Amino acid sequence: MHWINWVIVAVYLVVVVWDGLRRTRGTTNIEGYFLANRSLPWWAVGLSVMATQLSAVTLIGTTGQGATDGLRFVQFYFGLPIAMVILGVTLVPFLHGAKVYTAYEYLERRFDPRTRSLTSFLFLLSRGMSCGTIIAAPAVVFSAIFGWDLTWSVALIGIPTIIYTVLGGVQAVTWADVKQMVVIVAAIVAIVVVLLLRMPVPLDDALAIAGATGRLRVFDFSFSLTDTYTFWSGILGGTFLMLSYFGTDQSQVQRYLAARSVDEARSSLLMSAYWKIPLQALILLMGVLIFLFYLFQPPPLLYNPAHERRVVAAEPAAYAALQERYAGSLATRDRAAREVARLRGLDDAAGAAAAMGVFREHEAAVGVIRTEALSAAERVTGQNSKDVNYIIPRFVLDHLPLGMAGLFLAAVLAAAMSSIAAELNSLSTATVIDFYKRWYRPEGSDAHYLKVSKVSTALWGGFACVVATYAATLGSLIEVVNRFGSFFYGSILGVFLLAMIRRARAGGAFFGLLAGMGTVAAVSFGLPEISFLWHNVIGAVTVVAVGLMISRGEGPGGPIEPAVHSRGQA
Amino acid sequence: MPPASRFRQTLLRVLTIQAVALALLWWLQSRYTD
Repeated sequence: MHWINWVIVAVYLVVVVWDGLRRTRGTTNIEGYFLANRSLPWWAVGLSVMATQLSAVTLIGTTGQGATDGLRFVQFYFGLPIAMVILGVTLVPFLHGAKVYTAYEYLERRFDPRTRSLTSFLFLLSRGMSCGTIIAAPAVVFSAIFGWDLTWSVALIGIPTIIYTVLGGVQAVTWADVKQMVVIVAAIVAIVVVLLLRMPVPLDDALAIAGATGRLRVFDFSFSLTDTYTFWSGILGGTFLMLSYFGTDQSQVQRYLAARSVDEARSSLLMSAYWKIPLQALILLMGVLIFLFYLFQPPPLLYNPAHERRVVAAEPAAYAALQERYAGSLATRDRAAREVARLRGLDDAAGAAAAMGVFREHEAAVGVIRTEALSAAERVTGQNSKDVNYIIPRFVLDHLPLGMAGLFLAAVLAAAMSSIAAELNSLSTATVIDFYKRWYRPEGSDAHYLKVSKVSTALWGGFACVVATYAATLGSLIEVVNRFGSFFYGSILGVFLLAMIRRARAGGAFFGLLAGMGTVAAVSFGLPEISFLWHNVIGAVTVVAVGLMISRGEGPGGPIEPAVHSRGQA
Repeated sequence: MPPASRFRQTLLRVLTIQAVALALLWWLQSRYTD
């Protein structure tokens, strides 16, 4: 990569860390460190909410998905605006009004300490591991592209993030998120503009070709419990998933708890309701445009350069033969695509339709050779090649004008760092508030808790980096933890729904939570074909039903209105 | 403005923007997909 691109990356890193150090000045107490003294404007919190959700996996993986599978993934987000509106009138006023530090703290006021501790512990367990995978995903891509040792890639992403998160707390995290969202959106828009300018055929013809391959098919109205990307899975399952994520996951709840008021907290969530689907559609469209670009420019046979090198070394003759066939197929596909565009330009509908049929045949032939290459890569390396994650990095490094590769790399770092910083900040909050202060040392000074919070953030950062470094060998363990995490996501939402029902009681909440997790685990193992999106619906409904049933046999419960803040309880 | 009507107004705005986004995606699909 050209040195100017590296300068852009270095400037981005220096600005983010320097800004984080600057924010340490306003952070002298624990409320400032974790909640910015509840002083942040809605637009900054809103951008922070979006930046937290948009990780490097979204930027790299979703673009690749757009290139190979088209726009239908956007259906996954159809429930998000609905969830944001529901949260705006239900959980947000409860949590913000209760002046809590963590979402789980509210559960102790409403129910009892065991429900609070269990939900907070489950959050720490799943998010602690997932934080490592958030670093690992882009680090593995960087290592493959630049040939770096994985430890260096993890350090490049993890260390600057840990520095500004430890020193600046939520102030640094939020204001860094604002800048990071600007970098991410600027990179996406710039790449889309370059792709449009470099399209060798009119856009209308190019989109017709993409449509012929099914990549512009957005809506699938079939009702299926096994397919994740359908309209109904997105609307129903997606709403429950987004309610769980934005309503009960501390990494998101903490963003809007730092807002100035309930109204500003609501507005910050509505920013996602407005912009998430258009932004996600734009990222997927960028992938479709990259697919179109590579119809007229020969793409690599394998996008993952590390795997390509290993296959070339292990099976040189077979790979060379495959590449020769690939080059031939690409050339005929290129000609077929240009013929479609030419005939469409001449308004020859019948001719264009026939040419489209020829194009589809050649596109299928290219697909067959790609499948053979991917099988070879898996055979030689013994790993799933995850080639889709390398489509946009290869395109950016091989084809973008000077400086734009640096901007894209900065955007990937920004996407990764914004998600990691929010995770570290929230992991530390739950550790200190829900465990250290609640069970170990309830009567410490603010200065003491501030020091412990910084140490806790640093320790979680170190843990995440270690998990990321060993992600390849810990693969199955991480999968187990992620699967375990999916057992309780919807169930925790069920507990918060119970908290808003007057006749729900502490025993009902605790045993309802256990019943919900058990049911989801049973469904997950017994009916593995059911999409994970439905697990959240099953978990939440079970918790509410079982919780209310058990509550009938209990005495009076706690208040459901936002309680007056009590430091001793926090 | 009372909270209920403010909420209705916000809900209407969110739904309108989503309807426009979905209509655009629908147009893209119906124009370019067989």
